[in-house]
Amino acid sequence: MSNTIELSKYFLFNIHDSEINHTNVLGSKGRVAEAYGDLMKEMWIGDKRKTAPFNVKKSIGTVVAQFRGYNQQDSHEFLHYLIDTLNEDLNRIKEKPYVEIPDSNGREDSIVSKEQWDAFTKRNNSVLIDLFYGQLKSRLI
Amino acid sequence: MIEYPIPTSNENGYALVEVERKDLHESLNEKAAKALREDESLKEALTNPKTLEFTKISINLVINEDSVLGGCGLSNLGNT
Repeated sequence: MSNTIELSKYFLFNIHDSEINHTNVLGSKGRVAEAYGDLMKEMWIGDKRKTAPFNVKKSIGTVVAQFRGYNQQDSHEFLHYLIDTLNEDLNRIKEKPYVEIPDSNGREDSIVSKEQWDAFTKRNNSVLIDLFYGQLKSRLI
Repeated sequence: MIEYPIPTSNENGYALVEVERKDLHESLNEKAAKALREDESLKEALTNPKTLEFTKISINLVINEDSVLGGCGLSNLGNT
């Protein structure tokens, strides 16, 4: 993630400071975003040749119980929770509206996907959405 | 037997280590902010991140050149 330069710039330029959502109950009240921002600065601006991401790990543990302590965990799951919590911590939507999503009922993909995306972005709007999120269609045969 | 008051040196005081980390981040924040403050033309890009204009600003404004030479930031960039 550190080598996703666009995201690293967001933290190194301190833009996250003005966007942290301290009230979102789905996030960590900004702890993960702050810890990740600090880690990026240690890695990119600091003069040490190594750093331990201890605070990022600790802050994720405050929202996802399985990452408390030192048991071995799945790295892909950690990545998923890290991106998701960063999204909630930096969500520009302060109060998520209730959104009803109608069934596709055989309508065209382009219409259904736009409807889904609009509904999603009414509740989620962050730099993570801007840089990482998209839509995927799958079909069970 | 625990001696009171507990000494807060580098070796024994976890709280002191935390404070030192905080100082480090404040100095890094200041270093990054100073470089960006000096260029007025960047203001719009930095205050309106939704436009993603900030992604066009050179990262060299804030990074430590040592990182390019093998610090932990850019050292892996060539491998991606």
